Amino acid sequence: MEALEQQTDEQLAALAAREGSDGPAFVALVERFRPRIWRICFRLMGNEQDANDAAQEVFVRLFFSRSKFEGRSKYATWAHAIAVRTCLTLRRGRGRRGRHEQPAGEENWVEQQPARRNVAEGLSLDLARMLETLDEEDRALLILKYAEGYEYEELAEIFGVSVSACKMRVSRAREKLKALYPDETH
Amino acid sequence: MAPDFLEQLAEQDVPPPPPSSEFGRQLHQRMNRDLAIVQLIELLVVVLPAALFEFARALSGLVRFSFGGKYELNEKKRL
Repeated sequence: MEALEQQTDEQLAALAAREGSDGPAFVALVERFRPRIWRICFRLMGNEQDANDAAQEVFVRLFFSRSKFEGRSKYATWAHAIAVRTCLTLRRGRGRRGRHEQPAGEENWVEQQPARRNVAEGLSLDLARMLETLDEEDRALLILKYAEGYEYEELAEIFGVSVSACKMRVSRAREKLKALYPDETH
Repeated sequence: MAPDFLEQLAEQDVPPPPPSSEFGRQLHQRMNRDLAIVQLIELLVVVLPAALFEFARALSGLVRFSFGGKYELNEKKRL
């Protein structure tokens, strides 16, 4: 039998779907996708602690839905889409909790989260704050497009929209940022 | 031409992922916990109701046999 490392993503996914638990094929998939999923989670969540939590959640979801991969797209695209959706869900949940716990301090909430302060360490704090004003999906689109260099075609598959809709959303999000922060975006 | 303001995003450093062994251990624990929850829900929602239904069927058969003297396994035979 061909070594697991030499199998394609799709072949490994098919093997993992036949495994009863997290067997060697799924473990190999985790090892293969860990760095990329981690990058996506860190970019979208903004700090290591939340990124670690999100990355684990992504692999748990990949495990439970491993038999649902139908091969209509690349396995990598499918896995990245699950990673993005998981991060968006976690961020929305965190946002709701934040609003519930601190209804008066919405604006300062980002700064008050000790773990989230890490966001600014490698990134312009202004830009991080600007992105927080966007809709979660638009923020994710911009981050994946400009920070991770995804093509519109990949983004369209990940977000389940057409390429033109994807371009439109990126363009609108940029325009919104420019309108809100004319000085910082000139 | 001035660089795009969003290009700053690509300059953000991404730390290396946590060590494989530690990540794998945490993931395994989490997966075991979630699997246990899923199986518990399946037990409560699917298995127990099915078992109770079958038990009730057997019990009703016993009662019918005791009082009526007959127990028809196949309801269609009556037609």
